[in-house]
Order: sequence, then C-alpha cells, then structure tokens
Amino acid sequence: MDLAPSDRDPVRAEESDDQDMAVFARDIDTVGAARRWLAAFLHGRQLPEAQRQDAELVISELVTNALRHGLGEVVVRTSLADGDLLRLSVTDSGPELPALQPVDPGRIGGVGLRIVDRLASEWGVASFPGGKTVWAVLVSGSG
Amino acid sequence: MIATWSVEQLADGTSRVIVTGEVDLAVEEPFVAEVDSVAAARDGGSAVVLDLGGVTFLDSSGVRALIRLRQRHGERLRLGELSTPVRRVLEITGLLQPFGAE
Repeated sequence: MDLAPSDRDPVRAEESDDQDMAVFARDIDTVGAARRWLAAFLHGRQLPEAQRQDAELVISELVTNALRHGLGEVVVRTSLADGDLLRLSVTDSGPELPALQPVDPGRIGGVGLRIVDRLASEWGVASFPGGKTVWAVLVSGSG
Repeated sequence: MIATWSVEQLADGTSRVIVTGEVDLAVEEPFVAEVDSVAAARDGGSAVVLDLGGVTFLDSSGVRALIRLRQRHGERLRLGELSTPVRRVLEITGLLQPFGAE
C-alpha cells in the first residue's frame, strides 16, 4: 500500500450523486456524532454488516485524529458507488500530516491510524494550503 | 449510546468494572479516572477486572485508555469478558496478547 501523502481526495473528486457531508465543531462528542451521521447515510443500504462496522470505526479514527492533532471545524464527507465502494474523508485546518508508526504495544499514539490502515483498502492524505484531508476507501471484505 | 459503567466488589477483594455502550474520545478520560479511583480505593495487590462484554463499540481512544491503565496499574489490571467489537480492535492493534486476553 502506498502510504505517501497524496494530493487527491477521492471523495471530493468523485462524481457520485450518492454522497453526503457534514460539518462538526471541535468537541469530544463529535466522534459519536460523526458515527451516527455515517450510520444514517448508510441506513437502508445493502451493505454487509462487517463493512458497516468497519466504516464506523474508520470515521471515528479519522475524526478523532482531526480533534487530537488538527485545527478548526471538522468536515466529514462520504460517498457510495458501485454498490459497496464506500469513500470517507475528514478535513480540518491543521497542517500536521498523519503518518503510520511502527507497532509498539507500549506506545500511546498512532493506534488510530493503524486501525485505518488495517480496515481500509486504500487511504491517504491530501494536503492543501490551510489544511488537510485524510481519506479512506472501504469495499466489502477489505477489512 | 455513550458508555456507562458500574463497579462490583467481589469477596476475594477483586474489583470488577462492568462497561456497556460505546467507548471513544468522549469516554477515555472519565473512564481512566474512574478505574484509577477504583484501583486507589483498594489494597495495592487486589485485582481490577475490566468486563467489556457489553461494549458495543471501541476505537483507538478506548485502546489508549487500556494502555494508560495498564501502564499505571500493571498486572493488577486485567481484562475480563470481551465483546466481539472489542476483541477485534485489540487483535488489529496487536494488544490481545500483551493484555493477557485469550
């Protein structure tokens, strides 16, 4: 998997009509709120339960990282294409770019990105003046 | 539903913290503070068992809480029942064995 920062954000670039976005304040309750926002978007769709649960975990991790390390409002986007190609992205105003760290059971940080790396079929970082977007793609069976 | 917990004192001195609901960033600090106070209220040697069988969601903030508590309380802190979502996240993060879970 290519973990180098990427300049593209597949959620924004995608032309799918089936998409949603929301803006959240910097609040610890935002992690759960983003999970419920995503669950509402996916409600009634034909997705495997495992993919649904993985998606809630990934959006939680991306939003948590934005709250712990980012700045400003947290913008979440999602789109669904080809039945089960689920794209998620989280944008904040912070310049710090996330990077995958080596496994270390004694280390407090870096756990969230490891979970994203394991569950997403692809993920990356799109940096732009004034912020960054971290995105992830989940297909059924990618976890 | 955000996580809630209750504490049981067993006859052998063990404290059992029973957690239900979702464990994320909103829960990490209050949960760590609660388990710290449970551990402080008992003898230094008595075990504190975290029963996570009723946890419906746990993310890296929950994992952080477990790592922090383990670093502070060592072997005294044990994991009891684990729900499927908790077990999965501990497996993914490579913490199932370090925490002594089966």
